[in-house]
Amino acid sequence: MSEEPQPNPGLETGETGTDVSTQALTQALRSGFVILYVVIIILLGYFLASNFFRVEPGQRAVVLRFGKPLQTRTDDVLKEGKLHFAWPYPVDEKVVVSGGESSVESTVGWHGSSASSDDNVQFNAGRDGYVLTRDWNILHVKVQMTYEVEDPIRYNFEFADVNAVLRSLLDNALTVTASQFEARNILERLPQDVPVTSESGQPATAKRLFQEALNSRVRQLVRRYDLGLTVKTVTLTADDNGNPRLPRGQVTTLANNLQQSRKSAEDQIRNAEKEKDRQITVAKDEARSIARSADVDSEQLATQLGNELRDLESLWKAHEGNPETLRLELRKRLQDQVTKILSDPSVEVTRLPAGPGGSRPRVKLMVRRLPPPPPEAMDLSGGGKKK
Amino acid sequence: MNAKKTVVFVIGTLLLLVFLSLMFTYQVRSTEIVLVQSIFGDPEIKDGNQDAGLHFKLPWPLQEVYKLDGRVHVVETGFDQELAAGGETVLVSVYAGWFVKDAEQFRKKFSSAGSADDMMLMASEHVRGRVVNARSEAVGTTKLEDLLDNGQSLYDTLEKKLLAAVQGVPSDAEEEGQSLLDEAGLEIKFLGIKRVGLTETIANGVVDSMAQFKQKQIDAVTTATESEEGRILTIAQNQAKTIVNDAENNATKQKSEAMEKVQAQFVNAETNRLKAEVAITLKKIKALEALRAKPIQLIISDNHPLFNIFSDDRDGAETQP
Repeated sequence: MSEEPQPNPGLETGETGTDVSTQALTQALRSGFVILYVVIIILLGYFLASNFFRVEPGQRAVVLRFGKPLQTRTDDVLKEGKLHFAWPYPVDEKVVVSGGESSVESTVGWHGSSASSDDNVQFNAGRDGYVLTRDWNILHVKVQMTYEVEDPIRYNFEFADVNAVLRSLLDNALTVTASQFEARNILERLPQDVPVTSESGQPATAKRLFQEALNSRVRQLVRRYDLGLTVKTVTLTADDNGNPRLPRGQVTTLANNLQQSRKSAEDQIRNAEKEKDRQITVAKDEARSIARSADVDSEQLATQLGNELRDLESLWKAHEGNPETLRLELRKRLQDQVTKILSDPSVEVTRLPAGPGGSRPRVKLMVRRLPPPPPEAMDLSGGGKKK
Repeated sequence: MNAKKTVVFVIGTLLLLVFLSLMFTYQVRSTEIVLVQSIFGDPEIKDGNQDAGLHFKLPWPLQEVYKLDGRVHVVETGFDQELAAGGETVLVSVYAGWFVKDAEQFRKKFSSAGSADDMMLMASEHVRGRVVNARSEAVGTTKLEDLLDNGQSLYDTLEKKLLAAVQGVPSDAEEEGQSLLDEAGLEIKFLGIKRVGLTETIANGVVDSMAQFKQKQIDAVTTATESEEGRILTIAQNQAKTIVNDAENNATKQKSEAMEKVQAQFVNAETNRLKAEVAITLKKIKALEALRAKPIQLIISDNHPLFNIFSDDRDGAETQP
């Protein structure tokens, strides 16, 4: 700057015009460079600031430096909350990885979409998924596995499509396990002897429920495939209650009918038991009545015959040594009774004439009970209000 | 001007660095296997699992870099028909997880595909083809009934057969364990049966037999219920009858005992014929007394003993009811 020419007061002509324009250009360039520096500094600032990032809630991330993961252990994986730094691509690359808890479902044993799950829809082997059971039956089963990613690096970088691996694994476990169980044991959750590998590695058998065996097979495959995850649950999700189902259509309808029949049978047996109790109660009541009646009859008989005996003894004593008076007394009593009967208004006597030669007619004595007189007649005869 | 030069220098240096890095370096990602072919000798292989990061290379054509996907890929066969050992037709679907084990062998085998992605696609189809063939071979030596009746052990055996068939043994194998997959630079990480099924006709037959079985169960329940109901009611009737019979027997016995007691008194009383006649007559009188005051109709013959009870006609007296 010290070498710059001093202004010349005599410059009023065009000889010094070039110097002035040069000065102006220099001044403009200087200003331009200042602006450029400022822009570069701002860009540098933005560039540096943009290398800081946060991991979104629920996500996990790994920074690859020249393609190599900087976080190799599960605990090192970047999580939400903190501010992290990464150089721009191609030096560093932030990769969001799957982590936490996830789930996968096997539908090879299921019969298609829920829209076609109506029992009235008939089973279609070409369309519906199913599993074959040990006793050659067909069932619809759906399984869901929930798992937690234990090694995000292995889980995310070892497999091209880890979900496809998990689905295949679950399909395999379902197909193989179903083949070891009888349909009834699967449907009714009953234990069954299934082949297992003992701790010593020798084949053995053990009593297991279908779900236990399925769970065991899934965990075994997960260990074998080394997927970097831990199985949390293996759940049957076939219907609302998680129960496997019979082939839809006719079999399901008949199974429902069977269930209904069993329920009806229980009701029928219960009713029969009730009827049995009722009949026995009635019989016991009748027996008690008979016993009471027998008591009364016996007592009456004893009383009646006792009276008769006393009457006889009394009569006998009164006419002791005089049979004729005794006969007369008896005849009198008999005639009194006959007279009373014949004069009784409620007794109607029909006398049949004797047969030829004084022989008796076939009918000797017939006593027929008459029906009770109608109320009107009773009223009339009794002198009631009606005439 | 110095500042201008500085800027130009910095930008130029950066561009030079970028250019040189592209020429002399390459990245190996953890998911890749990289094959570096060199005109000077054997190719160099970088496995992403161990060698991920930035590496030096000579520029083309001195060295050439092939990047392959080193991850495990899954192929699945269709749910297709196969003929089992017993002659049954069975539907089987198989899956396999494979990966590039030897990048150089892999490149030799699939280089005709062109790009690395196309090579991977070609390899995938190659594995699928081998799995399909292996499925036919393995299922063809297994009976379906064994598969179901024996459970897991047979599935494991079938899967081992499948794996052996997928790997294959080259006709010119010199070492034990050498496989056709080795020649393609591939390895199977896992393999399994995805699904087993029956042909539509057989499956429908199974479902029909299940329906028949259910119908039989319904019939059996109905029959058993009716039988049980009948048994219970029969037991009830028998028990009730027994109770009533016992009661009647007891009543009869009780009456008989009462009668016997009275009879014993009568026997003592009836010391002679006359007294017996008196007793009988008294009974007749009592019987007649019972007829009174009741709405009855007596139909009687003129010469009925009722009216000549003490007549000499003894037969008539004896034959009255």
